[in-house]
Amino acid sequence: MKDRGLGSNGFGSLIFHTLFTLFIVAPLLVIILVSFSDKGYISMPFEGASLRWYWAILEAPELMDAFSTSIWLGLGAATLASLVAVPAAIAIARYRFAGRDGLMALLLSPLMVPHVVLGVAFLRFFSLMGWSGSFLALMLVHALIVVPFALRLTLGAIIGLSRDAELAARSLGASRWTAFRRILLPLILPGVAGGWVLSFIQSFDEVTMTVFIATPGTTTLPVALYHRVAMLTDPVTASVSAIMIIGTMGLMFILDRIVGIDKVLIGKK
Amino acid sequence: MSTLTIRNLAKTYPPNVRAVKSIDLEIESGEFVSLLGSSGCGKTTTLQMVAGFVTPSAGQVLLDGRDITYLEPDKRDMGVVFQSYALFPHMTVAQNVRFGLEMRKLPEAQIRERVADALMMVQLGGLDSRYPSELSGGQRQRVAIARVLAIRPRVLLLDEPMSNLDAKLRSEMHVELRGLQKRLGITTILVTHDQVEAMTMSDRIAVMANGTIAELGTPQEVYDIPSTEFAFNFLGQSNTITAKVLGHDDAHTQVSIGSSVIQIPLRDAGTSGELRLFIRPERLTLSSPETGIITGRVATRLFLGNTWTYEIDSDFGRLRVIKVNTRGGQPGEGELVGINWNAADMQSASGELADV
Amino acid sequence: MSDASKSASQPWLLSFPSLALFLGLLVVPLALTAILSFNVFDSMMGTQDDYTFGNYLEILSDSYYYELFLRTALMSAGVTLLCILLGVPETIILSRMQPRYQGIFFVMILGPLLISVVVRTLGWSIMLGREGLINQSLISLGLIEAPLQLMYSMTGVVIVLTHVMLPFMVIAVWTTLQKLDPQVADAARSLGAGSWTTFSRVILPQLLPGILSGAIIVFTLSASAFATPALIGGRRLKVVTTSIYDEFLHSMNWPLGAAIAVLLLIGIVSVVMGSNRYIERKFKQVFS
Repeated sequence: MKDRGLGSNGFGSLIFHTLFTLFIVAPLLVIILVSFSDKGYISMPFEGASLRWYWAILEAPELMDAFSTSIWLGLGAATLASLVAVPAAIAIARYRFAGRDGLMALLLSPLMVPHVVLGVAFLRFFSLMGWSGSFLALMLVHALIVVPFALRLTLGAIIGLSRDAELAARSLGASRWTAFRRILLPLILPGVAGGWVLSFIQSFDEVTMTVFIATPGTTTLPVALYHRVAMLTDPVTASVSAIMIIGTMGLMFILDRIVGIDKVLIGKK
Repeated sequence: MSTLTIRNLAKTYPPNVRAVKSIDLEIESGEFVSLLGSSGCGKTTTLQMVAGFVTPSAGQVLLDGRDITYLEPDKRDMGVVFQSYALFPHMTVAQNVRFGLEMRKLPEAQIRERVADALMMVQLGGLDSRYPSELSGGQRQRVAIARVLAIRPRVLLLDEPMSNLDAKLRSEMHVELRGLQKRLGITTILVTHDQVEAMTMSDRIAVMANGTIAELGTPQEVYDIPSTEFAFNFLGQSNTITAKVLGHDDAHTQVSIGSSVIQIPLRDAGTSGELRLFIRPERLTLSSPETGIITGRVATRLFLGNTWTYEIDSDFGRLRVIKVNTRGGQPGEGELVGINWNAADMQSASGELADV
Repeated sequence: MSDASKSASQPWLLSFPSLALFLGLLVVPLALTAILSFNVFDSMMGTQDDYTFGNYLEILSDSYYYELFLRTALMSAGVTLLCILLGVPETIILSRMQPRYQGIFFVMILGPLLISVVVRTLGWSIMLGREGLINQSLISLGLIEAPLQLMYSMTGVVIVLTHVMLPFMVIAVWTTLQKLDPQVADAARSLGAGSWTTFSRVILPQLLPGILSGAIIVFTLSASAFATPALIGGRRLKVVTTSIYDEFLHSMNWPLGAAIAVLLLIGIVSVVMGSNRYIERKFKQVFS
């Protein structure tokens, strides 16, 4: 146990910690409980549990469509983001060049620009370009806003890696491309894969920007859920949310296997 | 085998860091040359320019007369052993060793044969399917050596390869690696900060400082008759004595040091002015006060097992003397002793270290 | 030499795909939005091609917008304060735990970051209602008599945003905590400082940069949050982001919405830049 001179937890600390954890977990727990209710309104399942609100999702075509849109959007955006982030990460980690800091700041800027502003900007841009309702356009901007996540995890993998193995491969006769494919890529693969999964999650979850540019044909699950909740809170919104919670937990488990969940959540280590 | 020529090689990093100022070096076929120096002297940058990892700012590298200065590293046929060994952690020992052979697109049968040969040469037979993480430090180093020997490189470049081994293993590897290099006749450059390593392994040593070669010669030459003050102090230890020149004849210069006047075998030291003289601690011997050239009093003595190190206050200033630990009485602290030396061992630095 | 120029162009070649994506789909749309904010809007004809400062003048001269920005800033400040008060002690408690429990609670506390904010907000709206869990428990505990109005209130928005933002504060403080040298605290104790003095004079000052950077993140993300204020605050309790949404998708006054968006962006960028400069100036000597 690492003692950082902070002493140990007393009784008060434990109470604080318990309340804190409860505060964090309660809303998620409530959703999962409510989703198993057998009543026609929001209620706890203690007087009768059922799966009826899960079956009800199947009968809500707008939610099913939104779900598949979100899945394909996440897959496409995460893949595209990784494809552009990996070479950029190599450039940033392996070369010293004028404009390096600027490049890095630009690629991380979607983290700082409010998503409302991005949504407005894309809404204007798409309407000028005639791209409204285009799935491809939506995927491109989703890729853009998740690049920071793909970049951060990939950079984390490359920066800790000595260049010697690549240089050794080069002097043993490997071309730049071969050295990348056979040495660097396999070594940074966990970081790249972790970045991909995190990008998928971020794209899948995004609502603030997408709510501006989603059209009836390109509505994502969080946007559909947002619109539904804005009108009424019914048990179907709870069962959809419960599925999203469980799905995210599954992806977190995968992330933990690939890179370690602490690395993903804390960012750097 | 191959000869390597380095001409006026220089590397300047922006804005104006001159890592290597100008290196000239001719390495014979099959020769083992060490670049010896402390960190920041430019030895590693020089090696990286020869390997093709760093693009020189000026100068040329020639391999068998062909200009390879700007050739990509994969076209150079050089085997590099890194300080970190740089093994591919996701490949087994055999996969590491065959990597270079696959790059050369050799037929499978030949690859197998060469991998087996190379692993045999470094005594690693039977470990083919281990991963680097399953090997000891010494074994990893052997894999790194086997990996470059397998491609039969024209030049072998060793970048501090032994610095991560413990002292005993290191001295075993010195002998073994030198044996392999001689047997295979590979032209070799070793970069090291370890004097003993450079001395035991090399045909010639280039002592580097400030991005240039300060001293070049066989190990004995650079130790016994260095031409720069830097080399006197960098290789082994030296006592530095300031002398006043009184005059000279055909073969000797007469100098005064403290209250003594002595002759040293040096012709062109001028007729006046100051002269800095160097003598190594092990070339000074102790005797009874009456029989010494000069006398001194023991200030401190340190016991190192096989030797004693004495600090003696004398007319020449404080002198360090290293004496083999033989049986019998050793002079103690505060004792008066005589100090003797061979006239030829008192030298001056004829050359100046270029500091530009 | 060809090789030298090749290695100079290499990084740009590698970053070309990402640069193209960002220039084409980030820089250009943001520039177009900035231009849009100067366009004339006509309630009958929509957005015109003429340019004017009118949109900005309207915002700057109308107390409605002052209140809007002030409300957003106060809301963000409240969330930030709560996150500091709750997040800092919790992070310290976490750091004292055995690694086994640390891992579990880490995932429990930080994991919600990866769950859609709409889902988390939905959970809260179920709990905050007049007959929701919170009011019911408070009444059955006898603490209140009539249910509190938590939904569609600023209190509710601040509570839920605090829940959403807390993980960021924990991460920021945790990262700084990991860099502390445990021997420094030992040194303080051996020099005669008690445990409280050690904490307040030795540990806390070292945590300050982490708390500050956590506060910047929480403040800016709260000011840019949309789904939570929209769903918990409802249509009447407006903040900057929800009013931008209304201008664009309900009033259809895009130039005015763009002007508010530009002001929000400028506000957030200046908060980030300003406080980063402050942190750097203040802590550079200590933490370089």
